[in-house]
Amino acid sequence: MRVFPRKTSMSSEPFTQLVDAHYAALYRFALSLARNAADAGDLVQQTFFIWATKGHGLRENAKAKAWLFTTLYREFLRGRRRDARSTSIEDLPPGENEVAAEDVDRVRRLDAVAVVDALQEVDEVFRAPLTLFYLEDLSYREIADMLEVPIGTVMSRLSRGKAQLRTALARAEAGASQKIVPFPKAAGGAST
Amino acid sequence: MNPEQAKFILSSGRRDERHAADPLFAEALRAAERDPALAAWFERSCAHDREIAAKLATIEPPAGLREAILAGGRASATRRKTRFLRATLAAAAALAVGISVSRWSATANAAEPTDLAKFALADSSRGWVHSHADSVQNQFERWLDEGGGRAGLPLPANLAQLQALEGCRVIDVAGRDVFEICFQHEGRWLHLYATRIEPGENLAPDARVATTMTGERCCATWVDTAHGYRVALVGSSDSPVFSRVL
Repeated sequence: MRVFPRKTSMSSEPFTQLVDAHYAALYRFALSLARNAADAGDLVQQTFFIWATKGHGLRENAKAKAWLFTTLYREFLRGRRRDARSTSIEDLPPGENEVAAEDVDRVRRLDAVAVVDALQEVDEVFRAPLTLFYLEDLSYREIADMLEVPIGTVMSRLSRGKAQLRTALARAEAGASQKIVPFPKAAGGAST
Repeated sequence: MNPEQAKFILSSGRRDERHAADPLFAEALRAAERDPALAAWFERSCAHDREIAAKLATIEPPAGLREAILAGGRASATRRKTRFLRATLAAAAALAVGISVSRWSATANAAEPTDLAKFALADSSRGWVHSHADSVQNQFERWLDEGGGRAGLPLPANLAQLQALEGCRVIDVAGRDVFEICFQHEGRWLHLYATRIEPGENLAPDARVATTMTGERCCATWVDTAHGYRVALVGSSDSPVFSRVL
């Protein structure tokens, strides 16, 4: 369906400006959390709905942005069913910190969808700080404020999340190469 | 600080002034300056981070999400249940941007139409219209010309038929389906909203028309007794149709 503006002056409205400024970044954050586009879209819409009802008193853009990300994360946590894995973070083994040159090259070779898929394989508790780190260029202190967790927890989750992501990316590339099925050679002769 | 501790801290940041200003991160950076192996590791880690960030930044939101946020409903005619009351976003957003809904002047002669009227006024005030086929335009234009909106005259289609029309929007308002169709009449855009009156709802069917005015917009609400729907028609208050249906 085509939807088009009837009044060009709508673009100057504060709400429209806020949506234009942040909805894409919020969607990417939501996509990493929710793992599918429909739920991610719902989360973004719900976040702006809550802003419209509660958060519109925030006049500073920086505060509005932090408020939106925090609210989206809260809504995600509220909406999803907690499972055992998400509550046993302390039992997780420490992350592997080594980064090889091959890891960097691997990301260059993969397309964006494969990278998102790999990010979505990372444990839920690591995904939120990891996505904010990559997409929003936030410091660990800012991420801690947004997610309302201690700084040390954010640092731990970033370190372990990055290790998980590297593993998932390596697995993604290996999986992609296995999908290439060689053309069978004709028995006893060269293929054309 | 040993190299493993430094790696742990450096994993949480980047080589830029903002991160360097953090005392803990600055200490880890100094450790990297003294340790070539650690420095090389940090360079690779930052390069890896940059590549990941660049890939993720290319992901675009789905088409229509922005419009759905602004319009308060999905930019799709396909109904899908959702736990969110997304449609009320439009109403709330309209309030947030200062659209006054305090100047109701409803004549209050229909059975509790104000909720639908409030929603219809706020939703339509976003300024979006939804395109549709010419046949739909003609159908509703003819319906108004023949007295549509007047007491007792049913909608030209039932809700199932409305939902199937190209350009009809289905909005989940507090768990209830509200259908919207936009069409032109005598050069003015009108938005027609319809929702089913639920069984047991404490509403005496009342075919009289009530009006709600806000600013330059008018909303006429009535009950379609033939179908059992509550209907709201919104448009510019100087649209000729409003003087005719009252």
